[in-house]
Amino acid sequence: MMASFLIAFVVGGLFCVIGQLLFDVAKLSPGHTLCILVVSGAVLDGFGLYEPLIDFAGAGATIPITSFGNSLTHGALQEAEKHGLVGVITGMFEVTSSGISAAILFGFIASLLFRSKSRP
Amino acid sequence: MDRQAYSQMEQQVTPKVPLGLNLMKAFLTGGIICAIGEGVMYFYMYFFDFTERTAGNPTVATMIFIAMLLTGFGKYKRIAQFGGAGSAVPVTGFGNAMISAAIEHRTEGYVLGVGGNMFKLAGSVIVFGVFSAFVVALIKTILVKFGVVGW
Amino acid sequence: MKRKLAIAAACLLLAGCGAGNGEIRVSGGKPDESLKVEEVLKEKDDRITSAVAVFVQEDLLVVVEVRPLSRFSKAKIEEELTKKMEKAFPDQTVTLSADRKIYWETDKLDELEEEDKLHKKVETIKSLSKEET
Repeated sequence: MMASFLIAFVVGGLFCVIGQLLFDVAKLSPGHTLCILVVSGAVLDGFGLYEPLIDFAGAGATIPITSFGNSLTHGALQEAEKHGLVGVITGMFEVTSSGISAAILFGFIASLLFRSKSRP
Repeated sequence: MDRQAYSQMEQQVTPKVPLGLNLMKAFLTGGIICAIGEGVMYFYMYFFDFTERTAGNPTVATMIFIAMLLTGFGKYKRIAQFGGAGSAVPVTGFGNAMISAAIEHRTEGYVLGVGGNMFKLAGSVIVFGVFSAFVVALIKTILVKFGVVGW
Repeated sequence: MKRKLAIAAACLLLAGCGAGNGEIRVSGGKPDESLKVEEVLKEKDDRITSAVAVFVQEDLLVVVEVRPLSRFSKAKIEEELTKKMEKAFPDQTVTLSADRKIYWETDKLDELEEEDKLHKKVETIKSLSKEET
Protein backbone atom coordinates (compact mmCIF):
# COMPACT_ATOMS: atom_id res chain seq x y z
CA MET A 1 0.00 0.00 0.00
CA MET A 2 2.66 2.49 1.07
CA ALA A 3 4.92 1.11 -1.62
CA SER A 4 2.41 1.98 -4.34
CA PHE A 5 2.31 5.61 -3.20
CA LEU A 6 6.09 5.73 -3.19
CA ILE A 7 6.31 4.19 -6.65
CA ALA A 8 3.69 6.63 -7.98
CA PHE A 9 5.68 9.50 -6.46
CA VAL A 10 8.99 8.41 -7.97
CA VAL A 11 7.68 7.51 -11.43
CA GLY A 12 5.55 10.66 -11.69
CA GLY A 13 8.50 12.70 -10.48
CA LEU A 14 10.79 11.18 -13.09
CA PHE A 15 8.37 12.11 -15.88
CA CYS A 16 8.49 15.69 -14.62
CA VAL A 17 12.29 15.59 -14.46
CA ILE A 18 12.31 14.61 -18.14
CA GLY A 19 10.01 17.56 -18.80
CA GLN A 20 12.28 19.90 -16.85
CA LEU A 21 15.32 18.64 -18.77
CA LEU A 22 13.53 19.43 -22.02
CA PHE A 23 12.75 22.90 -20.64
CA ASP A 24 16.19 23.75 -19.34
CA VAL A 25 18.70 21.76 -21.37
CA ALA A 26 16.98 21.52 -24.76
CA LYS A 27 15.47 25.03 -24.29
CA LEU A 28 12.06 24.04 -25.54
CA SER A 29 8.87 25.94 -24.88
CA PRO A 30 6.27 24.29 -22.62
CA GLY A 31 4.08 23.62 -25.67
CA HIS A 32 6.85 21.73 -27.46
CA THR A 33 7.72 19.78 -24.33
CA LEU A 34 4.15 18.64 -23.77
CA CYS A 35 3.81 17.65 -27.44
CA ILE A 36 7.00 15.59 -27.27
CA LEU A 37 5.80 13.84 -24.12
CA VAL A 38 2.39 13.06 -25.62
CA VAL A 39 3.96 11.69 -28.78
CA SER A 40 6.40 9.57 -26.78
CA GLY A 41 3.48 8.20 -24.76
CA ALA A 42 1.75 7.19 -27.98
CA VAL A 43 4.90 5.53 -29.32
CA LEU A 44 5.53 3.69 -26.05
CA ASP A 45 2.04 2.22 -26.22
CA GLY A 46 2.70 1.18 -29.80
CA PHE A 47 5.49 -1.03 -28.42
CA GLY A 48 3.18 -2.21 -25.66
CA LEU A 49 5.33 -0.72 -22.93
CA TYR A 50 3.01 1.83 -21.37
CA GLU A 51 0.39 -0.56 -20.00
CA PRO A 52 2.93 -2.46 -17.87
CA LEU A 53 4.13 0.91 -16.62
CA ILE A 54 0.57 1.75 -15.53
CA ASP A 55 0.32 -1.64 -13.82
CA PHE A 56 3.55 -0.82 -12.05
CA ALA A 57 3.13 2.80 -11.06
CA GLY A 58 -0.63 3.41 -11.06
CA ALA A 59 -1.31 7.12 -10.91
CA GLY A 60 2.40 7.81 -11.41
CA ALA A 61 1.87 6.76 -15.02
CA THR A 62 -1.74 7.85 -15.60
CA ILE A 63 -1.39 11.41 -14.30
CA PRO A 64 1.51 12.67 -16.49
CA ILE A 65 0.42 13.90 -19.91
CA THR A 66 2.15 10.93 -21.57
CA SER A 67 -0.84 8.81 -20.56
CA PHE A 68 -2.91 10.98 -22.88
CA GLY A 69 -0.98 9.76 -25.91
CA ASN A 70 -1.10 6.26 -24.51
CA SER A 71 -4.86 6.18 -24.12
CA LEU A 72 -5.41 7.67 -27.59
CA THR A 73 -3.28 4.94 -29.13
CA HIS A 74 -4.78 2.31 -26.87
CA GLY A 75 -8.33 3.16 -27.90
CA ALA A 76 -7.32 3.14 -31.56
CA LEU A 77 -5.57 -0.21 -31.24
CA GLN A 78 -8.43 -1.79 -29.32
CA GLU A 79 -10.91 -0.78 -31.98
CA ALA A 80 -8.53 -1.79 -34.76
CA GLU A 81 -8.30 -5.23 -33.21
CA LYS A 82 -12.07 -5.56 -33.56
CA HIS A 83 -12.88 -3.74 -36.78
CA GLY A 84 -9.65 -3.55 -38.73
CA LEU A 85 -8.25 -0.36 -40.23
CA VAL A 86 -11.42 1.73 -39.84
CA GLY A 87 -11.18 1.24 -36.10
CA VAL A 88 -7.95 3.23 -35.99
CA ILE A 89 -9.95 6.41 -36.62
CA THR A 90 -13.16 5.61 -34.79
CA GLY A 91 -11.63 4.19 -31.64
CA MET A 92 -9.25 6.97 -30.80
CA PHE A 93 -11.33 8.93 -28.34
CA GLU A 94 -13.02 5.88 -26.85
CA VAL A 95 -10.70 5.77 -23.86
CA THR A 96 -9.37 9.31 -23.66
CA SER A 97 -12.69 11.08 -23.54
CA SER A 98 -12.68 11.56 -19.77
CA GLY A 99 -9.60 13.78 -19.68
CA ILE A 100 -10.62 16.03 -22.53
CA SER A 101 -14.29 16.23 -21.64
CA ALA A 102 -13.39 17.01 -18.02
CA ALA A 103 -10.98 19.73 -19.11
CA ILE A 104 -13.56 21.31 -21.45
CA LEU A 105 -16.36 21.04 -18.91
CA PHE A 106 -14.42 22.38 -15.96
CA GLY A 107 -12.86 25.06 -18.13
CA PHE A 108 -16.29 26.33 -19.07
CA ILE A 109 -17.58 26.11 -15.51
CA ALA A 110 -14.50 28.00 -14.33
CA SER A 111 -15.17 30.75 -16.84
CA LEU A 112 -18.66 31.09 -15.34
CA LEU A 113 -17.48 31.05 -11.73
CA PHE A 114 -14.17 32.85 -11.65
CA ARG A 115 -13.04 36.23 -12.88
CA SER A 116 -9.65 36.89 -14.33
CA LYS A 117 -7.43 38.58 -11.77
CA SER A 118 -4.75 39.89 -14.06
CA ARG A 119 -7.08 42.05 -16.13
CA PRO A 120 -9.93 44.28 -15.00
CA MET B 1 22.47 46.07 -32.18
CA ASP B 2 22.07 42.98 -34.28
CA ARG B 3 20.39 39.79 -33.25
CA GLN B 4 23.52 37.97 -32.17
CA ALA B 5 24.67 40.71 -29.88
CA TYR B 6 21.22 40.90 -28.39
CA SER B 7 21.08 37.20 -27.63
CA GLN B 8 24.54 37.39 -26.10
CA MET B 9 23.51 40.25 -23.91
CA GLU B 10 20.34 38.45 -22.98
CA GLN B 11 22.31 35.46 -21.82
CA GLN B 12 24.53 37.64 -19.67
CA VAL B 13 21.68 39.51 -18.10
CA THR B 14 19.34 36.60 -17.31
CA PRO B 15 20.30 35.02 -14.01
CA LYS B 16 21.65 31.48 -14.25
CA VAL B 17 19.25 29.04 -12.63
CA PRO B 18 20.95 25.97 -11.20
CA LEU B 19 19.80 22.95 -13.17
CA GLY B 20 19.97 20.51 -10.27
CA LEU B 21 17.71 22.61 -8.08
CA ASN B 22 15.17 22.97 -10.88
CA LEU B 23 15.14 19.22 -11.49
CA MET B 24 14.73 18.61 -7.78
CA LYS B 25 11.79 21.00 -7.58
CA ALA B 26 10.15 19.47 -10.65
CA PHE B 27 10.63 15.98 -9.22
CA LEU B 28 9.07 16.96 -5.91
CA THR B 29 6.11 18.84 -7.38
CA GLY B 30 5.31 16.22 -9.99
CA GLY B 31 5.79 13.43 -7.50
CA ILE B 32 3.44 14.99 -4.98
CA ILE B 33 0.77 15.57 -7.64
CA CYS B 34 1.04 11.93 -8.73
CA ALA B 35 0.93 10.70 -5.14
CA ILE B 36 -2.26 12.71 -4.60
CA GLY B 37 -3.56 11.13 -7.80
CA GLU B 38 -2.76 7.70 -6.38
CA GLY B 39 -4.79 8.62 -3.30
CA VAL B 40 -7.73 9.69 -5.47
CA MET B 41 -7.42 6.43 -7.39
CA TYR B 42 -7.59 4.41 -4.18
CA PHE B 43 -10.63 6.47 -3.16
CA TYR B 44 -12.43 5.52 -6.38
CA MET B 45 -11.38 1.91 -6.10
CA TYR B 46 -12.44 1.61 -2.49
CA PHE B 47 -15.79 3.38 -2.55
CA PHE B 48 -16.93 2.75 -6.13
CA ASP B 49 -16.84 -0.15 -8.55
CA PHE B 50 -13.64 0.79 -10.31
CA THR B 51 -10.74 -1.57 -10.83
CA GLU B 52 -7.12 -0.52 -11.18
CA ARG B 53 -7.64 -0.49 -14.92
CA THR B 54 -10.78 1.63 -14.94
CA ALA B 55 -10.00 3.97 -12.03
CA GLY B 56 -7.62 6.02 -14.19
CA ASN B 57 -10.39 7.91 -15.99
CA PRO B 58 -12.27 9.31 -12.97
CA THR B 59 -8.91 10.05 -11.35
CA VAL B 60 -7.85 12.21 -14.27
CA ALA B 61 -11.20 14.01 -14.22
CA THR B 62 -10.89 14.64 -10.49
CA MET B 63 -7.35 15.95 -10.83
CA ILE B 64 -8.57 18.38 -13.50
CA PHE B 65 -11.36 19.44 -11.15
CA ILE B 66 -8.77 20.18 -8.46
CA ALA B 67 -6.76 22.07 -11.08
CA MET B 68 -9.88 24.14 -11.83
CA LEU B 69 -10.23 25.18 -8.19
CA LEU B 70 -6.53 25.98 -7.86
CA THR B 71 -6.50 27.92 -11.13
CA GLY B 72 -9.66 29.81 -10.26
CA PHE B 73 -8.31 30.95 -6.93
CA GLY B 74 -4.98 31.86 -8.51
CA LYS B 75 -2.95 29.27 -6.62
CA TYR B 76 -1.79 27.22 -9.59
CA LYS B 77 0.42 30.03 -10.80
CA ARG B 78 2.43 29.81 -7.60
CA ILE B 79 2.79 26.05 -7.91
CA ALA B 80 3.96 26.55 -11.48
CA GLN B 81 6.53 29.14 -10.37
CA PHE B 82 7.96 26.69 -7.90
CA GLY B 83 7.64 23.43 -9.79
CA GLY B 84 8.33 24.34 -13.41
CA ALA B 85 7.78 21.21 -15.45
CA GLY B 86 6.58 19.45 -12.30
CA SER B 87 3.33 21.35 -12.57
CA ALA B 88 3.13 21.35 -16.38
CA VAL B 89 3.67 17.67 -17.16
CA PRO B 90 0.83 16.15 -15.08
CA VAL B 91 -2.67 16.48 -16.52
CA THR B 92 -3.32 19.23 -13.99
CA GLY B 93 -1.00 21.38 -16.12
CA PHE B 94 -3.00 20.52 -19.22
CA GLY B 95 -6.19 21.38 -17.33
CA ASN B 96 -4.64 24.60 -16.04
CA ALA B 97 -3.71 25.69 -19.57
CA MET B 98 -7.28 25.24 -20.77
CA ILE B 99 -8.99 26.63 -17.70
CA SER B 100 -6.84 29.72 -17.35
CA ALA B 101 -7.37 30.48 -21.04
CA ALA B 102 -11.11 30.14 -20.54
CA ILE B 103 -11.11 32.47 -17.54
CA GLU B 104 -8.81 34.98 -19.18
CA HIS B 105 -10.83 35.38 -22.35
CA ARG B 106 -14.26 35.52 -20.82
CA THR B 107 -14.48 39.26 -21.37
CA GLU B 108 -14.55 38.58 -25.13
CA GLY B 109 -17.78 36.65 -24.79
CA TYR B 110 -18.61 33.02 -24.32
CA VAL B 111 -18.59 31.86 -27.92
CA LEU B 112 -15.61 33.72 -29.35
CA GLY B 113 -13.74 34.27 -26.10
CA VAL B 114 -14.14 31.16 -24.01
CA GLY B 115 -14.99 28.70 -26.75
CA GLY B 116 -12.42 29.98 -29.20
CA ASN B 117 -9.46 30.44 -26.90
CA MET B 118 -9.80 27.45 -24.64
CA PHE B 119 -7.77 25.25 -26.97
CA LYS B 120 -5.16 27.86 -27.78
CA LEU B 121 -2.43 26.20 -25.71
CA ALA B 122 -3.92 22.77 -25.14
CA GLY B 123 -4.95 22.35 -28.76
CA SER B 124 -1.45 21.50 -29.95
CA VAL B 125 -1.24 18.71 -27.40
CA ILE B 126 -4.51 17.24 -28.66
CA VAL B 127 -3.54 17.63 -32.31
CA PHE B 128 -0.14 15.98 -31.90
CA GLY B 129 -1.53 13.35 -29.59
CA VAL B 130 -4.23 12.37 -32.04
CA PHE B 131 -1.93 12.45 -35.06
CA SER B 132 0.84 10.41 -33.43
CA ALA B 133 -1.71 7.94 -32.05
CA PHE B 134 -3.12 7.59 -35.57
CA VAL B 135 0.29 6.94 -37.09
CA VAL B 136 1.33 4.49 -34.38
CA ALA B 137 -1.96 2.59 -34.50
CA LEU B 138 -1.89 2.52 -38.30
CA ILE B 139 1.65 1.14 -38.43
CA LYS B 140 0.89 -1.45 -35.79
CA THR B 141 -2.36 -2.54 -37.46
CA ILE B 142 -0.58 -2.96 -40.80
CA LEU B 143 2.28 -4.87 -39.17
CA VAL B 144 -0.24 -7.17 -37.51
CA LYS B 145 -2.02 -7.66 -40.82
CA PHE B 146 1.23 -8.85 -42.36
CA GLY B 147 1.90 -11.02 -39.36
CA VAL B 148 5.10 -9.28 -38.27
CA VAL B 149 3.97 -8.67 -34.69
CA GLY B 150 1.05 -9.77 -32.52
CA TRP B 151 -1.39 -7.52 -30.64
CA MET C 1 -10.27 20.00 1.27
CA LYS C 2 -6.80 19.05 2.47
CA ARG C 3 -8.12 17.78 5.77
CA LYS C 4 -10.76 15.65 4.10
CA LEU C 5 -8.16 14.20 1.77
CA ALA C 6 -5.93 13.42 4.72
CA ILE C 7 -8.79 11.66 6.51
CA ALA C 8 -9.68 9.70 3.41
CA ALA C 9 -6.06 8.68 2.94
CA ALA C 10 -5.82 7.57 6.56
CA CYS C 11 -8.98 5.47 6.22
CA LEU C 12 -7.64 3.85 3.10
CA LEU C 13 -4.34 3.10 4.76
CA LEU C 14 -6.01 1.41 7.70
CA ALA C 15 -8.37 -0.51 5.47
CA GLY C 16 -5.67 -1.49 3.01
CA CYS C 17 -3.19 -2.80 5.52
CA GLY C 18 -5.68 -5.19 7.06
CA ALA C 19 -6.05 -7.24 3.89
CA GLY C 20 -3.06 -9.26 2.76
CA ASN C 21 -0.61 -10.78 5.18
CA GLY C 22 1.56 -12.95 3.03
CA GLU C 23 -0.63 -16.00 3.12
CA ILE C 24 -2.68 -18.17 0.86
CA ARG C 25 -6.24 -18.55 2.00
CA VAL C 26 -8.69 -20.94 0.37
CA SER C 27 -12.32 -21.23 1.33
CA GLY C 28 -15.45 -23.00 0.18
CA GLY C 29 -13.69 -25.97 -1.41
CA LYS C 30 -12.95 -29.56 -0.50
CA PRO C 31 -9.64 -30.15 1.33
CA ASP C 32 -7.89 -31.72 -1.64
CA GLU C 33 -8.98 -28.85 -3.86
CA SER C 34 -7.56 -26.22 -1.55
CA LEU C 35 -4.28 -28.12 -1.41
CA LYS C 36 -4.20 -28.10 -5.18
CA VAL C 37 -4.74 -24.33 -5.31
CA GLU C 38 -1.89 -23.78 -2.89
CA GLU C 39 0.36 -26.04 -4.90
CA VAL C 40 -0.28 -24.08 -8.11
CA LEU C 41 0.26 -20.73 -6.42
CA LYS C 42 3.39 -21.79 -4.52
CA GLU C 43 5.33 -22.24 -7.75
CA LYS C 44 5.33 -18.51 -8.30
CA ASP C 45 5.86 -17.66 -4.66
CA ASP C 46 8.58 -15.08 -5.10
CA ARG C 47 6.38 -12.75 -7.12
CA ILE C 48 3.19 -13.16 -5.12
CA THR C 49 2.86 -11.86 -1.59
CA SER C 50 -0.57 -13.21 -0.75
CA ALA C 51 -3.52 -14.90 -2.37
CA VAL C 52 -7.18 -15.65 -1.73
CA ALA C 53 -9.15 -18.36 -3.50
CA VAL C 54 -12.89 -18.87 -3.12
CA PHE C 55 -14.95 -21.75 -4.48
CA VAL C 56 -18.56 -20.79 -5.16
CA GLN C 57 -20.54 -23.56 -6.85
CA GLU C 58 -19.04 -23.87 -10.31
CA ASP C 59 -16.98 -20.71 -10.01
CA LEU C 60 -13.45 -20.43 -8.75
CA LEU C 61 -12.26 -16.96 -7.90
CA VAL C 62 -8.54 -16.54 -7.36
CA VAL C 63 -6.96 -13.22 -6.49
CA VAL C 64 -3.28 -12.67 -5.93
CA GLU C 65 -1.29 -9.74 -4.65
CA VAL C 66 1.78 -9.18 -6.76
CA ARG C 67 4.98 -7.86 -5.20
CA PRO C 68 5.21 -4.11 -5.97
CA LEU C 69 8.36 -4.43 -8.05
CA SER C 70 6.95 -7.34 -10.05
CA ARG C 71 3.88 -5.39 -11.06
CA PHE C 72 5.48 -4.57 -14.42
CA SER C 73 4.62 -8.08 -15.50
CA LYS C 74 1.22 -8.14 -13.82
CA ALA C 75 -0.62 -8.98 -17.03
CA LYS C 76 1.81 -11.81 -17.79
CA ILE C 77 1.53 -13.29 -14.30
CA GLU C 78 -2.26 -13.20 -14.57
CA GLU C 79 -2.16 -14.99 -17.89
CA GLU C 80 0.24 -17.70 -16.74
CA LEU C 81 -1.64 -18.39 -13.54
CA THR C 82 -5.01 -18.48 -15.28
CA LYS C 83 -3.71 -21.13 -17.64
CA LYS C 84 -2.34 -23.21 -14.78
CA MET C 85 -5.53 -22.88 -12.75
CA GLU C 86 -7.68 -23.85 -15.70
CA LYS C 87 -5.52 -26.89 -16.22
CA ALA C 88 -5.77 -27.86 -12.56
CA PHE C 89 -9.53 -27.27 -12.36
CA PRO C 90 -11.09 -28.09 -15.72
CA ASP C 91 -14.61 -28.28 -14.27
CA GLN C 92 -14.55 -24.83 -12.70
CA THR C 93 -14.95 -21.44 -14.34
CA VAL C 94 -11.73 -19.80 -13.28
CA THR C 95 -11.55 -16.06 -12.73
CA LEU C 96 -8.09 -14.92 -11.79
CA SER C 97 -6.97 -11.40 -11.13
CA ALA C 98 -4.12 -9.45 -9.61
CA ASP C 99 -6.20 -6.29 -9.35
CA ARG C 100 -6.38 -4.66 -5.93
CA LYS C 101 -10.07 -3.84 -6.21
CA ILE C 102 -10.97 -7.40 -7.09
CA TYR C 103 -8.73 -8.63 -4.29
CA TRP C 104 -10.63 -6.55 -1.75
CA GLU C 105 -14.00 -7.66 -3.06
CA THR C 106 -13.08 -11.33 -3.09
CA ASP C 107 -11.57 -11.04 0.37
CA LYS C 108 -14.93 -9.80 1.61
CA LEU C 109 -16.87 -12.72 0.10
CA ASP C 110 -16.48 -14.92 3.18
CA GLU C 111 -18.64 -12.62 5.26
CA LEU C 112 -21.65 -13.17 3.02
CA GLU C 113 -23.87 -16.01 4.11
CA GLU C 114 -26.92 -15.97 1.84
CA GLU C 115 -26.63 -17.93 -1.35
CA ASP C 116 -28.22 -15.43 -3.78
CA LYS C 117 -26.26 -12.52 -2.43
CA LEU C 118 -23.08 -14.47 -2.79
CA HIS C 119 -23.94 -15.45 -6.32
CA LYS C 120 -24.74 -11.87 -7.27
CA LYS C 121 -21.47 -10.65 -5.79
CA VAL C 122 -19.53 -13.28 -7.71
CA GLU C 123 -21.17 -12.15 -10.94
CA THR C 124 -20.25 -8.53 -10.20
CA ILE C 125 -16.66 -9.47 -9.51
CA LYS C 126 -16.47 -11.46 -12.72
CA SER C 127 -17.85 -8.61 -14.80
CA LEU C 128 -15.46 -6.17 -13.09
CA SER C 129 -12.48 -8.29 -13.92
CA LYS C 130 -13.47 -8.41 -17.58
CA GLU C 131 -13.84 -4.64 -17.98
CA GLU C 132 -11.29 -3.01 -20.25
CA THR C 133 -9.77 0.36 -19.53
